[in-house]
Amino acid sequence: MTDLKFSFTELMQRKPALVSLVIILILVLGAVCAPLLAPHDPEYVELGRALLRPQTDYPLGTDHLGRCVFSRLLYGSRVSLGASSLVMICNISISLVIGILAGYKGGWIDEIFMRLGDIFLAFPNLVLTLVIVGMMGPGLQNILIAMVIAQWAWYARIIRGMVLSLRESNFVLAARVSGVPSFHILLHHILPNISSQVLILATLNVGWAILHISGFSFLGLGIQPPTPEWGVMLKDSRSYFWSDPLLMLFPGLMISSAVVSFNLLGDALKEIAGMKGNL
Amino acid sequence: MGLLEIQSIFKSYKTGSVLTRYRRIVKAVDGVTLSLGKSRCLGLVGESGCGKSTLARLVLGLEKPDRGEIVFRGNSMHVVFQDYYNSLNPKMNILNIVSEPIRYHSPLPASIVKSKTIELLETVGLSARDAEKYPHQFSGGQLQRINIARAISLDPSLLVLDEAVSSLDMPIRAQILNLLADLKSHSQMALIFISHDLDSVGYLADSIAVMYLGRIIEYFADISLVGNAQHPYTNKLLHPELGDFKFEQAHDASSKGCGYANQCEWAKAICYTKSPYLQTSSYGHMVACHEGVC
Amino acid sequence: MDRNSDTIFKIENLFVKIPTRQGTVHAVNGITLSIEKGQTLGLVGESGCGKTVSCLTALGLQKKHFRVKGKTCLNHREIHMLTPSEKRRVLGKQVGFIMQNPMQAFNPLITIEEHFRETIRSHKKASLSEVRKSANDLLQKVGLAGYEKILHQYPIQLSGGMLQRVMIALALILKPRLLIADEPTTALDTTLQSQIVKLFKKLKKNSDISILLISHDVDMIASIADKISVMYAGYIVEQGPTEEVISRPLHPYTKGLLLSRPRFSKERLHTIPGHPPSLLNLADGCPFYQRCFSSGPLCPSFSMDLQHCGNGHFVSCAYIDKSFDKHKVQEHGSPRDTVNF
Repeated sequence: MTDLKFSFTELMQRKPALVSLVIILILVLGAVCAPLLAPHDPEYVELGRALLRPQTDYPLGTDHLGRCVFSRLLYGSRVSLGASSLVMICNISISLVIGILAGYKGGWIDEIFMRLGDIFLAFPNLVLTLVIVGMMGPGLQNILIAMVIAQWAWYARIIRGMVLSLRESNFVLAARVSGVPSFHILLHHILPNISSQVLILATLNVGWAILHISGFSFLGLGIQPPTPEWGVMLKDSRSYFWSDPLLMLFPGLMISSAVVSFNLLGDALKEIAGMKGNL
Repeated sequence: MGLLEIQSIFKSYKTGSVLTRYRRIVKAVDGVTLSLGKSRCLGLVGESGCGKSTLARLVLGLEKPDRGEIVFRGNSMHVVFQDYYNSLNPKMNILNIVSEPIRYHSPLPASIVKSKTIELLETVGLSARDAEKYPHQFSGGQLQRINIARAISLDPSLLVLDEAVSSLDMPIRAQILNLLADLKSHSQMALIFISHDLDSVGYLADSIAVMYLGRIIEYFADISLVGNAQHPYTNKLLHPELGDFKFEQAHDASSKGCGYANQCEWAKAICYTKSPYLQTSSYGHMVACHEGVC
Repeated sequence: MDRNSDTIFKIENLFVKIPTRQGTVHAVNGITLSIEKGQTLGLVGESGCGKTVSCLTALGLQKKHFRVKGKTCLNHREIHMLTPSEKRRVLGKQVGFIMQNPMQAFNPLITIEEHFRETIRSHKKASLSEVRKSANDLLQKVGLAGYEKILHQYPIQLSGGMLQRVMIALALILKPRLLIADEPTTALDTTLQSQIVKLFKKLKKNSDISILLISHDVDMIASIADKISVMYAGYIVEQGPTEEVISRPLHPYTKGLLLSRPRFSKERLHTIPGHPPSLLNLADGCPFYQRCFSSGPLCPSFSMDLQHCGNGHFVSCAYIDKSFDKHKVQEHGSPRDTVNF
């Protein structure tokens, strides 16, 4: 408990981290309350009102099909944040299980998972994802699966490293001598001591996932129109860049602010974890 | 029938990668036979890298020997390491740390576990108030006391102390040594006290084994026999101020002969070709040296 | 303090306070030391008593946020008045450093010879053959005669005892006037420790270098040093010629230190109860009085000034007890070659 309190007060003392946290909270709030906040149906097409400037009725204007940009951004954050959190949760839980098993048990389990991981790590991340999506076809679900397949080995390897060094620490040896069962050692000694680093990995992973989901949608491989999503919006507004640059600016700003916020938060957490290490 | 019987155990590690030519085998423990009686204290002396800690890990069951066997006839054993901070989970409070062996050994109600833990903390010179604190709130000597409290929580018949006082400053070291001496005299616990510092070993140990490159080179069943030390290495440990020091590359596991021959002032031709066995020199005194026995 | 012109290194009334989030750490609380030419001063104290901080600060090597008060002179030049480049030149040339852990003090990627070359060439021009010659000379001096081949080896190929000798050789290569050794034997095995002690003794005999020896091991210090300063919680509690301090310790802490060492006997060890105080927000008065067996009502408000007790022996204690049993120490300190039980 004192630990958590310490981390929280430390976090509050860092301006960039605080700003990031506020931005993330606003985004999450917007996503959750989208039906209440959105002035229009995000998918309602009204060609007569296409490409309007921002005005009271349409706070951020309308796109080329006359849809409300503000409403689309709000609903888009639901897709972006939701999907990237899902990727993060899958990624971290898979790699946590594999990393802990491989790191703590060692032996052939370690060999199998790590050699398998080597195969996945041998391909560049983006290429691997593209190949998997190419095989399974575009779509949100397939993108998510592809991203998890491409990333798990990376995180599993990091977590395995952390577990490996903890396994040799004296307090784990002492627990083994005391006759504490392996499962309890993992639960009480290993997991609490890697939790802060895993939290950092998770935060950075969300930022990474937002960027990639939007990127794939922009390329037409991810979420398909007319579903509102930041990457899709960016793609749609590309043709109107010279006449209506604002149309491209808003989703771009959303993507970058979300990604930068998650990364800054991750960095701040990393710094605090490092400080605690020196305590 | 001793409490602990170690029958010619071997343990070696492979270093380097399969692909390089520097791959070699390090014989960490190379045929050690020892026995330890109930409530006795064995001092294990040797310089760093001589295999003392590997022997401790083998005894504790943290590693499996390549060959040989270890027979333990007591109820349980525990250990105190040199690195006192790394021995305590930083995320757990002292109550949970010290009571861990009790909790996993027998299911008792929380209140009894707590009162037992506090009793243990008081035995090692800490107070009940310390139970709710975390490891980073203590100094080195106190942390080692916590480690000792955990180690004795199950009233083990054997306690292994792996350089347990080596990284403590003198006044604190004296406190911990006194604490260990008290524990030893008030309980039936046997101790294996591992250290490179002969003075600390002399304070606690009843018998002494001197280890060099994975082997026991001299064994004194009683500490009063140390005065008749015969092995040149033991004499060097006893009187480090005498004689000059030879820097020779460490003995290679593949070569024959006595491991100490390269550094020995008295080395003869036979020392380089035949390795000496541990032989009884007089009652309760064994030595592995071509020079000493004849 | 006499103003001897032979004083090489002098610390006068040094205070170091370290501000932290939890409060101020009173690391050094007004210490005064001086080392004359050819003299060896031993600074004894437990870890965390401010030994290392005071030396680093005295040489102007403290961290930026430390608050420092006091004056230090190296060879009659005040160190805090020097510009950074002057400081680098003066310190590099006149002060040699030996650190605790020889394994961490070397760059693992370059050979021993390159270490020598780097050290020499950062202060003067020298050809490769000159570097080799002086390196060989020094290796001979530190007892590594006939080991020229180690010049072409990497630090990882050498043993701890060898590396510690190489480090001493490196510290001596620019012919410094002051050698600072911070726990030079603590990380080593017993046999190696005594070899390094021997080396220091030889060094002292054969040159007029001044040595500041820092350690928690009173015995080691006593066997080398001419003068001893005992430090506790940032204060110097006792100071004087080695013979005086060892045979007639006046401060209760020094007495405790001398008696607490195990000496291969079953005789119960004397201990100092409790543990050193936290230097965080350290209160005024004697920091030792809660652990002291002869404390009294004056202790909590004692000013910690050193008082002269004759023979150059200074002590800061409110109740100086001169009736210390000298024979007990000597008897207690009997060497282990007469093991009798």
